[in-house]
Amino acid sequence: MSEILVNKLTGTSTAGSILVTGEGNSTTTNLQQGLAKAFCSIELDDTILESLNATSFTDNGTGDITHTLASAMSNKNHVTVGYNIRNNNGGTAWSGGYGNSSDTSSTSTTARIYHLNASNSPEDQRRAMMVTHGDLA
Amino acid sequence: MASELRVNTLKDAAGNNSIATSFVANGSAKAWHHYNQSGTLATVDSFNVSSAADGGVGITRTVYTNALANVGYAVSGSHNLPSGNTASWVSGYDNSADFTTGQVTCSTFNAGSGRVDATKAMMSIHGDLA
Repeated sequence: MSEILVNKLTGTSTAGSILVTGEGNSTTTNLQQGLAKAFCSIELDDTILESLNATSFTDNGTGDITHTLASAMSNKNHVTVGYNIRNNNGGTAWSGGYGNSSDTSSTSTTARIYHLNASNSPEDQRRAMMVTHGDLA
Repeated sequence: MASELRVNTLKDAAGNNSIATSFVANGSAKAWHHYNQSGTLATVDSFNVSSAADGGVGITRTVYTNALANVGYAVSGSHNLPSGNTASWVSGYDNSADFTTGQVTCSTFNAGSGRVDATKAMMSIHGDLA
């Protein structure tokens, strides 16, 4: 069995670009760009259950969370998606991007996400989750 | 000639935190797309996306540069609203013809008024490359 022990992977031609052969054994995908750069799962009592590069957050109000990214992204254009497990009221809930067209609350070091119920109201969730993709600085 | 390393498992230098390279390939997002649907559709940032098409209000097709192996891959998304901060979500489009190995069409919804164009719409996919 082949095994490599290493603390850091760096590309030879471009330091931040390593290709990985995909599951179909031919097409390659970019390792750095495909990796999630942050994720976080928060319990209703504001306990962070598990996270990567999102070690703290700000509770802006009901259902409104700004995650702080420990290692910055290259810009504010990152992709942040979310998911909820609703509180004990049951029923449906979903996650949405926060803000209107002029909103600047998501930056290279923050990702703001909104959690709502099916009645169109922001709501604190039993578990709120997010994943961020994009380029690290 | 490009350098190539063939290995089954990665560990840190201390021999801990082992991860199979299959998890590296399987666990990486195969595409992500951040786009602005307001006015003329515009890609803000992307990975493995060759083009995007505006299918009408709240309807955007994302076309991949490298295709997926099958249509069993997973799509997730999020978006804002052009004004206000009310409920919104991303869901699949109307039929399977818009979900293929080479593209997916996502709809962005406002809870009160059906589909809506968002200034910050985002999606990512996970699955197997062809």
